[in-house]
Amino acid sequence: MHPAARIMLAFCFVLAALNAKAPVNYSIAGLGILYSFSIKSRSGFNPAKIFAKMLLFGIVILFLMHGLNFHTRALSTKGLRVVADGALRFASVFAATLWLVKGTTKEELYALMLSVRMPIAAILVVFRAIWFLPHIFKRVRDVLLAHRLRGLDSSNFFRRCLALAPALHAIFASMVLEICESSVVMVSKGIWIGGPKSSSLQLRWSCRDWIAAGAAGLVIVILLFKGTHLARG
Amino acid sequence: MLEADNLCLSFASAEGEIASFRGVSFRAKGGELIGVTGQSGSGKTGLLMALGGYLPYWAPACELRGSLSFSGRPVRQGEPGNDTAIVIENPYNQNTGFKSGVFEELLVPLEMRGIAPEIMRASARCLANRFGLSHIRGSKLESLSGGELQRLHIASALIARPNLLLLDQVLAELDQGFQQRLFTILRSYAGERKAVILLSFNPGETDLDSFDTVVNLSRGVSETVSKPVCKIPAYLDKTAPTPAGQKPAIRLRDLSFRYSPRRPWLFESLNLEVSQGRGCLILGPNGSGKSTLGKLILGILKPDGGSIEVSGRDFARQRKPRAGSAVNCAFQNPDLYFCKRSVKEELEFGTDKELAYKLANLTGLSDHLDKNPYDLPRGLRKRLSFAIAGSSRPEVLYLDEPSQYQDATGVEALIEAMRFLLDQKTALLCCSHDRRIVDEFSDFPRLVLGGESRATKVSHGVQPQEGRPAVQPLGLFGGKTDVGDARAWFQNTWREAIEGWIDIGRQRSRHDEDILQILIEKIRGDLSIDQDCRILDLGCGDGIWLMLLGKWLDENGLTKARLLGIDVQQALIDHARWRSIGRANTHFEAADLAEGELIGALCGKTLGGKATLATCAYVLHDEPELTPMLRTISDNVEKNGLLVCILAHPEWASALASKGFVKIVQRAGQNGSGHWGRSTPDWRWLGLYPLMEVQGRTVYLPHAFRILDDYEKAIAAAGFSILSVSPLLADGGKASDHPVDVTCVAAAEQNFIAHDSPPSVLIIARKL
Amino acid sequence: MRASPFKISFIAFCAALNVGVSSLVHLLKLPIYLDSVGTILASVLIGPLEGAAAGVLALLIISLTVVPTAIAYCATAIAIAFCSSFFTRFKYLATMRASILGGVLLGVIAALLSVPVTVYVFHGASLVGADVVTAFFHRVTDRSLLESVFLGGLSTDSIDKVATSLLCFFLIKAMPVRLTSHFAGARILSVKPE
Repeated sequence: MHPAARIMLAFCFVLAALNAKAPVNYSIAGLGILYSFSIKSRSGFNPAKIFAKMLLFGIVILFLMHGLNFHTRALSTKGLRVVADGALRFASVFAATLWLVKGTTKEELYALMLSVRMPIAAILVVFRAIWFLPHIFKRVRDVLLAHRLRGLDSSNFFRRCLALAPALHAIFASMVLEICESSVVMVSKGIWIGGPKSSSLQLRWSCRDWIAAGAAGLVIVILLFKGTHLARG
Repeated sequence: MLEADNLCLSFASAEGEIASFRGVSFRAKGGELIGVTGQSGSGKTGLLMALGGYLPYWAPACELRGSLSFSGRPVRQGEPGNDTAIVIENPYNQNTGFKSGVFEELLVPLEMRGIAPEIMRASARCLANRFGLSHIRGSKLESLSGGELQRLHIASALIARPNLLLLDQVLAELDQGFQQRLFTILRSYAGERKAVILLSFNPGETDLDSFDTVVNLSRGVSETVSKPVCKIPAYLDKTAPTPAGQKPAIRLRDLSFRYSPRRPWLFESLNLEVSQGRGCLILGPNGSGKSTLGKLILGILKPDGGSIEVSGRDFARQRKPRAGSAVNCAFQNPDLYFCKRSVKEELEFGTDKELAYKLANLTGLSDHLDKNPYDLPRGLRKRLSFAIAGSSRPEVLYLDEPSQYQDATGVEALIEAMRFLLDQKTALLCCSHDRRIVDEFSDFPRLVLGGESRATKVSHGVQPQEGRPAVQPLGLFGGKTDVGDARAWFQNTWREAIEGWIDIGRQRSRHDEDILQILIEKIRGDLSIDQDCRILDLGCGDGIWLMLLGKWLDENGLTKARLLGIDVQQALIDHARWRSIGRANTHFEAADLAEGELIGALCGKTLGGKATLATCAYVLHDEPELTPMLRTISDNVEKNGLLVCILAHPEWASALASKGFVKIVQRAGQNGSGHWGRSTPDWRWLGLYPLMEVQGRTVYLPHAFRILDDYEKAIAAAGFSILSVSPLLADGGKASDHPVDVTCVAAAEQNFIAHDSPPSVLIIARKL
Repeated sequence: MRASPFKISFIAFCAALNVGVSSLVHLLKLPIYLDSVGTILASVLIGPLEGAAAGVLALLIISLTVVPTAIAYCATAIAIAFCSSFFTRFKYLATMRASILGGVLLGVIAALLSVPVTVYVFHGASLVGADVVTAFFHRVTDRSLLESVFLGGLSTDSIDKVATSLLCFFLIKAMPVRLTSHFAGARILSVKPE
């Protein structure tokens, strides 16, 4: 599927889940969660576990804040309604994001960004950041290991605090040194050469994409007539 | 073409201006390969950055004086030309991040120049093959080892066809086998494109003969050496047994490990013993698992089987690694270590200050005690990290590429420090593909690791059988250039290999005759091919098999056998390659058709015969090309009923099977699909090669047999029964560490080196 | 201003640093989150716009990998970038005292800006900050939601931003000489400490 159609669909899913009438919206969000968690990741990246953890955490927090009255030790119906609404908001956004993240490969994203004529500098900054992330994680692990082998103890809280600064220093200094070198390579690869760029992956707008776009348009039209949930308060 | 006159580079720093190099002058014509060498910190990188005009990006505070011009125009700093490309020494730091796949990353420079996708693919495929990347084309970037990444980056620099190519200390990451191939590739590129290539290296890292001109920055002058002769000395493994009667400092018992159950064993039943004050060299090509072994020994990874004992205690089950542990490691990346603001503080932080200072003195750090560790040149940082790791008095010290980034003095200092540590009863496990280290510690036992795709039983690498070297350095075709000799030799080796077969699963050991004989008999007897057998060889590598087969068919009166070879990648058959081998009645079809058409045409033609032997190489990996071929083949199979295929990719097997088809072969660990993890061995020593590299008498039965079940099902589903399963090549080459004199091989045969795809098992099937 | 490859890479790195450091802190099991180290470094060393870019990019990455709702806090990240850049006029990150003071101020600003988002969009659960503290204020001490979210944010954010500032202070102090040349224009490096 075309990544643009994906994004549209995800957006409409969130809108639909947030704005439909009471039982429908929960089932939409629920189905979305089930679907997005169960599909196989195309992009090789799968944050489902973290998402699930955060979602659960959010619901528990909402429950503690609104659902449970500490003084009477009773559940309040009004509070529970707030919890349910909050959970719906989280769940729909989580499901849509997960679906997008699982389904869109880097190559597609790059091709999409090119096709909407984003400047190469902006594309580069986004992709470099994504690229840096696992790099930093790895560096964090390596540095902590190296420091542990050297004797920087992290057995208790204060030692951990003390260990933090040197570890960060090693990460920062070594990575910025690498940035100097890698920026040379980026230049060498021709990123700053003017003129149009191309993509080895060619995006095609297929029949499925038309259907997706049509469905997305329909949802928006319906919402325009009905007024949105957020506008209603 | 490239003219540098009296170049002088200096950096502004807190202590004033520091000159990096001065008075460098040289000239280069198009087509020349220039070496840049000098000690650690002599400004090799700086010179390359200056030549390309990259200085402001790299270090804004430095100043370049002197005049510099390329193709008649002065080189302006900060405005590098579009026809300039650079590859730096750290392979992990050169991905653009735009892409997740290997092939896609290779294409980035073309994308940045707005080249149409169709054109991109053709040139990328060719380059990928030459750089031995084709088997990892479908892999994800993060699964690549440093050496593989570096190859990718060099290929990616070449893809935009630069006129000035700067390679900064790239040899450090590449194994020796590939280094030689790289020189061949660079030479031919420079000659053909009339480009100037500069390659910087540490003194002693490679032969000066490989270059037209060598700029030696240590002396600040350039010197010209004679035209290169590209001689690569092969070396023999001089293995001495571990002295008896000593308590081992570390003992690996039947160590097995793989990254996931779906991936092949990286080590299987690995045995190793190193006593106190002794060392072991760990060798192996890029991606063979050297670093992984280090992680296992450190306890970061847990073995899947077997044990690691340090001083008699089981170490594999220990918990998190910590300071003062019996095992320490000097990582490949030195930058992880430093947490203080000066070298002095770093050294004093260690558990044993005295030892730390001693090691620092030995490694030549005593002049830099007050500097910030990150301001030191990389070679010195590496030595500092070694001193730090060594000073914790570990019983076992794992050194990951200790000589990386080192000049001759650095290596000498390191060797001295390593000897010192050995005297301190530390056991050293040193993984390196640096010849200087390997030669120095030639009395150490060697653990030669294979590639990931092989289920390696490397125990013999450490304690080889009496009188038999662990690894035999071999010329192409066993050093034979005459095909008769080669064949005789080949069959002998093969027989030896078969004798050593391990029984895996249902497959009984085979101690019988020449496997080729079996194969031929099967074809002859069971399949009744008696005439007009045609052999279609698509791609390379596998062709050597068919050639031998075809020759046999010839000799046995099956005179109408035809052998067709298509080197799709070059879109033309390489006549010389076959002629030089001397097959008389080989018939060649050369055509200037597009790949798909060529294959289609040849399939149609060849399949007109009664039976067809086909081998399809990776070059056909792309689905659009495969489809017409499959159609043609399956049409013909309807008529002819038999096909013997040697395929490169497992998915083809299923594709063929689903088309009512016969089958087929699995080669050891080849993987285009990520099924078996990336396949790292260097298939470059194609065809016959891997087999010769049998260690001891153990033949590593590759994974093919593990997936035989799948094949059986697929074949049965297609209505065929398996008649025989024959091992073709038992093991992929460990050749990379054992350079072969490439120059002695005819140019035609170099094609073999440039490709990769030895099959491991041939399955012959017949319609039920 | 022309985008240079180093700047681009550095912004990207700072964005990733935000995410990476907060995960490091998580790994070390510390009670702060330090998720604006990169934002502050970029805005102080290069400029406020770049800092804001790094901050927003970091939130984008966090929302794609950890908490999809994080992107709603863009305004906070932008404000931190601009304020920290502005504070360097007052020796922020050049002296220890100014850094601590600046950290407290940044904490207040961050809390102020994130309150409306947390309260009106997510009913009080931010998922990126001090939810437990907020819940404590709201339920145990019976303050209104708005008030308790603000108090919760204030109490954690100011500690966090002080820690962040000190960390940045340390990092800039210990920066190797060869790196400083890349940030030649940064005011912070020319300020002499008292």
